[in-house]
Amino acid sequence: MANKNNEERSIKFMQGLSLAGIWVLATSMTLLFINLIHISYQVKDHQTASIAISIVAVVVFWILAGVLTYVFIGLHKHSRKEEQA
Amino acid sequence: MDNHQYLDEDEILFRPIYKTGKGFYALACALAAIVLFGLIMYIRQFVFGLGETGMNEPVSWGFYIISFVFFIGISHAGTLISAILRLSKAEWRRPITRMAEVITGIVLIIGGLHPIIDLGRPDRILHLVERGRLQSPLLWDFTSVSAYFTASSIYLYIPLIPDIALLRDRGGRFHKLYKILAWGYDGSEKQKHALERAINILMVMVIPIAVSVHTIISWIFGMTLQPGWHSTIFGPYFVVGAIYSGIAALIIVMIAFRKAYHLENYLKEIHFKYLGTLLMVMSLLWFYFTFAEYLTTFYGHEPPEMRVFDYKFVGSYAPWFWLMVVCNFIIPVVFLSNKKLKTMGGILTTSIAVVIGMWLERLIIIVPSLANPRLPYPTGIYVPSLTEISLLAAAIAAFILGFMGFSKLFPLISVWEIKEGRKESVKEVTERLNEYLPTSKHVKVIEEA
Repeated sequence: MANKNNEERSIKFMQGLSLAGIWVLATSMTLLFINLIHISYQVKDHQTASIAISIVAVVVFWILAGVLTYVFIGLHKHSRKEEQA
Repeated sequence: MDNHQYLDEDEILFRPIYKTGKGFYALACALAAIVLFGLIMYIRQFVFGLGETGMNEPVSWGFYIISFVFFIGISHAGTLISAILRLSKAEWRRPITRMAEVITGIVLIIGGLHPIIDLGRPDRILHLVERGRLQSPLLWDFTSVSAYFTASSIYLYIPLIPDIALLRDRGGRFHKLYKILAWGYDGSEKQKHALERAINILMVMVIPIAVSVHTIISWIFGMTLQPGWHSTIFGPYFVVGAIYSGIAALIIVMIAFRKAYHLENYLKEIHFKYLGTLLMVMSLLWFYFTFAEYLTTFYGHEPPEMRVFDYKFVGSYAPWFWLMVVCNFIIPVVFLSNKKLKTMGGILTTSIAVVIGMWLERLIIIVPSLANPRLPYPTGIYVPSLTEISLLAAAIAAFILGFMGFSKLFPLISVWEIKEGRKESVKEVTERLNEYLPTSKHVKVIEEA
């Protein structure tokens, strides 16, 4: 019984880790673009269009992270076991 | 999605996961040997430098960038077949979507590695991260390909969850992996609803991302002032070419796996006829863009542009140029417009010709323009080295190996979508037809079969 609980816990941990990956990616892309926009201002090489497109690109990653999280929460919350409980 | 009702009916879809023949191992070993040879040649290049390649001044881009554009282009198979056909509720897409999505994932990895190989010193990719220039098409490219790869991977994974749950419930090897990846899916109505919603959002998102990817890749060339490159038509031209090569690659993969795993009952001739029709349409579109591009160049008759034009049409690259036209236009039109020739064999021949032709198209776009720059250099010469040829072979081998590896872990055809199709498609299609068609007291309402 204790082994089964440990296994369930480790599986849930791995699942959480797999979801965390997309948030790490989204955060990394955001930090990358903040860095690049900062450098472009420093060297006076910025264009409004490039900055606007960069913001759109970053938003895409956050939406993808949101969709994956929605699926993760939806699947765990609405499983038959949870609904019966 | 009743997981057990049709289990025996679709057992063949699970067979590749549980049974491996000698042919599989033999092919995997041969492909692994090609990949290993490519890796050895890459290490040689890493140690001795880009002098190991045929690249030089002025032809500083060669096989690696050609392959980069080629492989990223093939990734559009997933977007077109999976997203667009899903969006338009084309029922015949059901056995095809998974393969198309897998192609996208694998070729994006392979394609994405090529610019790093082309750099010579791979650590220089970090310059893009540390001090990249926002106005650079190379940075836009890095961003769009990353976004597309992320979106495609999620778009492959989410519809895969119900099949992973089936594999988890069957037990056997990789049971723990399936348990982790299934994310607790057990087929409840609310779970199905959550998945459906996510798939609907992604299939809409992935289309503009895919279009942006190949448009931005075209701008790596189009935004320069190189003769033969600085063209406004490059964006849509590249997107059309990408979709074209994507469909062809998908057909080849489908025919190969259909034969290998006896999937004739799922991948029927009608699927190939429909894809063949799409291929024909793309062939005509491709020809239209090519014709428009070269007619504009010829009419303008600018000397630097005409040097490149003559180099392609009648010069050193003429054999490759005309071979490209034969592969991309003549063969598809001959085979696909003729009912007698539009057989499985004909469609396969056409697809192979198109894949070769589209690789040649990238060669024709890249090398002649670099060989004939605006500055008064003598015409450049590019001869690919053994290193570049072996890395191209390794890339193709890696693609096939990746697909074979996927088939050992997950079903290549979406089992839940097939079951759903059997259960619900007829009713859904009947309801849709009743919505589209005019009603009349003289015409019977279409009844469910």
